[in-house]
Amino acid sequence: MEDFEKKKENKESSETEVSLFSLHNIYQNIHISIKTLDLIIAFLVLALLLTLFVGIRNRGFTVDFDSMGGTDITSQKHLYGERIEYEIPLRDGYKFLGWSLNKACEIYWNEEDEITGSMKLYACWEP
Amino acid sequence: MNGKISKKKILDFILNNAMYIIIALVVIYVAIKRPKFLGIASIVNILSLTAAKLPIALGIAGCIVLAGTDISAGRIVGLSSVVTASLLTTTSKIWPQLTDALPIPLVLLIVIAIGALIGFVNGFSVAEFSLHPYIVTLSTQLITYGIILLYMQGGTNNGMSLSGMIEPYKELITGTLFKIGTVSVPMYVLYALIFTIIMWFIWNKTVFGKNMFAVGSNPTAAEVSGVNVKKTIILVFMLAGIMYAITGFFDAARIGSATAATGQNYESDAISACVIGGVSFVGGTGKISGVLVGVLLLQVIFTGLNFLSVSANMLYIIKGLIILIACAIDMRKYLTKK
Repeated sequence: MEDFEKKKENKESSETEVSLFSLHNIYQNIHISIKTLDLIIAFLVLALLLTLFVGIRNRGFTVDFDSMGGTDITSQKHLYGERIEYEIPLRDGYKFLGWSLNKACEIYWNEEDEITGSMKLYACWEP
Repeated sequence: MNGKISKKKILDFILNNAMYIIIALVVIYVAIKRPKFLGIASIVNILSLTAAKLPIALGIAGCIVLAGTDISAGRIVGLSSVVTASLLTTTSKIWPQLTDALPIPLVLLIVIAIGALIGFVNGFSVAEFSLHPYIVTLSTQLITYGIILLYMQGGTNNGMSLSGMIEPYKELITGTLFKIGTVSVPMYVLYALIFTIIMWFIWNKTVFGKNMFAVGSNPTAAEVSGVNVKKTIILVFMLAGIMYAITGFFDAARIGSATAATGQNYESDAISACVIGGVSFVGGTGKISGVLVGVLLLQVIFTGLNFLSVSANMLYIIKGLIILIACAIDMRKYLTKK
């Protein structure tokens, strides 16, 4: 009888372990030496530095223009803090109101606004 | 012999602090190339962005303390953001029958309830069915995104971005708290500070907080010592859901509009910030101050890279590598202790 209770207890505790296993230490089953891990960290740091170097070398934000039915305006590449070369598209029967950050023409982009990231500008028209 | 020991100590120091060293180097480089980076406007910008990202990081940190994670965080932010934007406007295309904006506290309660509900689903699935948080939150991430897309199609909106929120709400979130010179510090910096203090209190001064660390360290031992493990896991995920909802509530006003893409990948920044700040994937380890430092450092490096005009495409690769390095260092600390 005692044996049976012990077995039952063991079974219950192992069930508890199984049910909670998913939330216990994601590294516990990883078998790797610290030396190998150091090499991996060094490799990853080098990769990060290289990516930073490439990113800085090829810097520049792209400004795309959607003329919304008007004449095409080519994309521009600028650095942080620069201003866009303000080009005006043409569309028959429409008056150009300006460039906006959204299609609904709610956030206009002014000529003197400074660029802080890549973006797409939409032309706003009035029939 | 001494030389060998000190050399090992130096190497240990460099490897354990590799992330901080890289961030310091980037900051120095940006400051030299772009002195405006250390200007008041830039510092206030970094502080404001840190405040905006802090609530989501504070929420996700709890899940990591449980040795789990939550990748549905960003989408919950997005859902909260679009619901806020659709209800706090006088011209709601999603709810055309609404002729006036709902009261601000009511909308806050609605989004908090939504966040808590998704958090409950996450926590309940993890606790009750022993599913790994990664799998559970991956599915709720997709489900939540589907809900966002359907919601954005509602009424006459047809998936368009939501904007035109009422002024009292925008003023409440983005109004001026105080000015440094001509630069305004927005109100949500104060709210982020309040939430940080509340979370510090919950983590350090309540039974729930202590239970969370006990479950994170060793769930079996916690259960044996009388902690209701399942309840603790569910509550941690619900609290996290509430923090994501608050982030979304801020974001609609902060950005000025809400789209289906709002909140996308926020969780990756938040997880990186937590790991950089010392919240370990081992479980049971982490401090609120660490989360704060992690979010701040990450914001400093990304603002710096933005000043250098590094494209968003490269930033994704950089973010991924930062997460990998932070995890490798976290693993190293665990193995060294073992």
